[in-house]
Amino acid sequence: MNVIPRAWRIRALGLAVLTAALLAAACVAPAPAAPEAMPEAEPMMDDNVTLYGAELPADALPYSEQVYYVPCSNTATQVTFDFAVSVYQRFCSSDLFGDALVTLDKDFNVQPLAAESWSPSEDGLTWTINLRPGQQWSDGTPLTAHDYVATYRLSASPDHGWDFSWFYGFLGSGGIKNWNQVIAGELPVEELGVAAVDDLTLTLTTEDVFPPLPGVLKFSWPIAAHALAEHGPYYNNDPETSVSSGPFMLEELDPGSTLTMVANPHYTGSRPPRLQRIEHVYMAPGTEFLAFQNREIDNIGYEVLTPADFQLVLNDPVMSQNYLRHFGDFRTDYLLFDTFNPPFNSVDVRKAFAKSIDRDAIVENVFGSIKAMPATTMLMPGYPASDSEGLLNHYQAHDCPAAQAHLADAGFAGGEGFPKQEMWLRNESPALAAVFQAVAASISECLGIEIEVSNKDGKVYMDALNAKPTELTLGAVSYGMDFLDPANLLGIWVSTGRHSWLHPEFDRLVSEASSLVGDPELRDQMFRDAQEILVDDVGGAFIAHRWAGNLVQSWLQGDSIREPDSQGIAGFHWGDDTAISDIYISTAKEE
Amino acid sequence: MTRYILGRVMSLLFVVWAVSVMTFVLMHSVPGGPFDETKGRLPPAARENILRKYGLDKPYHVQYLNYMKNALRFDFGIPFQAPTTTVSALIVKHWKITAQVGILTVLLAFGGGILLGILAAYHQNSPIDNVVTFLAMLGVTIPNFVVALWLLLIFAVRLDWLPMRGWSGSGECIFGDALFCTDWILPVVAYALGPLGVIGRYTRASVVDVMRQDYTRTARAKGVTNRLIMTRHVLRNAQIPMITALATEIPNLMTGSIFIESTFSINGLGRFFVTSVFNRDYPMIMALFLLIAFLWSLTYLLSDLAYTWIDPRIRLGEAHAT
Repeated sequence: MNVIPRAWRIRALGLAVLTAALLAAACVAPAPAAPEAMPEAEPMMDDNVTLYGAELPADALPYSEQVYYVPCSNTATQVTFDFAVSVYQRFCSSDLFGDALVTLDKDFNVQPLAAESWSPSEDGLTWTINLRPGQQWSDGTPLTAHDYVATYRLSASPDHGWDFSWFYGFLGSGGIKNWNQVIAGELPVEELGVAAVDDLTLTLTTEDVFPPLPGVLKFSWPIAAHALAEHGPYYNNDPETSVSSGPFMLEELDPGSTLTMVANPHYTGSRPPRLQRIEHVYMAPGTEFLAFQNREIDNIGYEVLTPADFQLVLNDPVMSQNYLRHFGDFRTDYLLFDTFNPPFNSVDVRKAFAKSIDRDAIVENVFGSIKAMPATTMLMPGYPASDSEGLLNHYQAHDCPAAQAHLADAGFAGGEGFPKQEMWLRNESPALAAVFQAVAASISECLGIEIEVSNKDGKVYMDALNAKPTELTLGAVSYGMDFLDPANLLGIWVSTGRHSWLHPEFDRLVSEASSLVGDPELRDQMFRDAQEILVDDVGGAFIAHRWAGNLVQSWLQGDSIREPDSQGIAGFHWGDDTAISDIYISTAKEE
Repeated sequence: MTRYILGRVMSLLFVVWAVSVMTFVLMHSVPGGPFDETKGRLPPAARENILRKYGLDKPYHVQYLNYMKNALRFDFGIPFQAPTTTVSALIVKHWKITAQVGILTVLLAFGGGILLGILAAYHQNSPIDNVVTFLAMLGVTIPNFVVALWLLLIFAVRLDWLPMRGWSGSGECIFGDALFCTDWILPVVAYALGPLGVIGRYTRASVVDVMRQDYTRTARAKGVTNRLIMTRHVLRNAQIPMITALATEIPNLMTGSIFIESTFSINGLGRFFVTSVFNRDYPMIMALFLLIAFLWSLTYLLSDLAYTWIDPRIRLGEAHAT
């Protein structure tokens, strides 16, 4: 490190001065944040042209200054960049070292990415996927269908214990052929329904007909088969052994301290980035907003913003313009019940609970309308087969007298004799815990019953939820989509899923609709009917659909995030892998 | 004395063993395991496979014996949360940073606390005493994460004097990065204020007590200068309770604080105490608790030895004369 000209100041900062200054400075009016001194760009030819020869927009900073600063939690456990190794313990900005077969556009339509095209066989069971030719890894090895086969085989390997392996089992009839037998070790991985016909042709066979399969290919970020064989599944954790077929490659990694990615000069795919590098700034989530205000990071997610932070954001003309609200993963918060045992085996009790929740007040006063909208259904408006017209609202809409009548019909008039309940939360943040506290208060106030809210450790919660029979009588939780199809968000409610609720007609509708091809209207209607059963029978009491969002610096630009989709929403769209390549740093950073 | 030390070393080993048993039992009694996932449970067969891979399918007593057998060779296993390294390597890497923070914090907390305590005692019941007492109370009562956020807001965001985060990474340094860097200031101050308050209060009480002793009054009556009284009599005799305070603070400070380390983005050991428990990272939990038990035992042993050095009247391990 260099001896710095401000050394005198350092020496002057003794403890006494700091302590005194702490008290004094607390009264000092906030000074406008000084702009970060930008490193001087070396004069160079064509500094408005990316590594891939594309010209940067007119308002972009020079290419040498196209550096994107993103926060990265220093308290989260992160072990890999690769989806096929772990889904829940990935490093920040994972999935940039390879292109999935498909991506989603702003309107959540499936679009080709590493794949060029795909088509199902006549019986609908086998999908043939043609790869875009000419793709390669950063060490020059061609990217082939064999890499995708190796990826799926690694995920299914019984020794690997992939934390997302439940997903392909959850798809049921839509799951990859032999998935369950392979992960159980009953069949070798070679028997998995994924095969390379040749270098550019991949086939994927499912257990049954499954129309939404192309959307599920969204999760197919590839592993380099040759690197996997040579260095094992964590080859990407070391810049020496890391190889990338995606838009970025690893430059430096010291987990918890440093993570730097640079544009991959060998990238030949369809999302060449405008950014030259991505610098990750490790920090506690609670300090992200401070760092953002200090102009140190370019983008923070809505999850880290407290209600007080939102007040500041909304009252600030620049920040409010740059808060980009979007659908996120169409997440819904809801109450779940053990409907196989008293008292929630009574549909009247469940209806009483559902109708006693004053969702409007809770969203307005506790959640914040910028972060959520009241929900009476599982599927958020805008999601396929959702009740965008509000036809199902009446089943669970807030109506306290009706709720009290239902409770009386169940034999608990005025809450008399109703057992005290403990509502479990799944390790929720203080802001979300407050929402569920308000839900409990709303129910208690209307029905005259006692509910204690208990925020549990995540693993304790999931252990109780997944136990058969369930050990969770009453809980609050949220769920977001894994792929854009009603089979996903309604599929979690079928009787083999994690909820203790059973309705044979619902099961039949979801199961048949999931594998129905050739009649999209009927399929859509079947899912709508299924959702009606779910809300009428109160499999869950729905509370709010979450609006996700990102607070970005004014200098973070790009049509992918600034131009609205067909529903008027501008922002980061879940599943759109091309956004990272479209965004750039504008000259507004120098202002 | 040698016998006493040997006895204490044996009891240290016993404490470490007892802690290992308790930790093992407790961590396995908590619901949820390391491979129970967020959204859905692993299919039973896959779960069995992975449990077998990590030896978690064996009876508990076998797991414990295997772990301890390896631990005696300083092999604490592979952490579930960082499978590309070993527990030992992970602890060494991160503890180095935590220890740096801890040593500076100890120096500031004890240097500052003792100075302020003496100042307050010397000017007992004066405005200086009141101010020092007030500051010490603030340090003791305000949690360090609150102090940390305030320091960040004021000195990093509003005044822009000091860096927000890092440990000798983002700050400016003098004399290379070995002596002093600006990014050390905020974390050390935030971390030290609590113990500084405690030490200040201890010191003040001890010094006041000694200043009221007959031998101090005698020295003053004999015309010994105040400076000599303070250095030769008061401070020397006030050190015993200060060492007691030191013994309780050092293990805490040397094992890091998740609040301080995460708030200031210091890549130390502190966060692993929380993430290991949340992730049910059994090898890491065991190693961390063994480390803590060892540190506490060692610190108490050293403080007991220090008593004899400071006050020759104290004889360890000898029967009291009746």
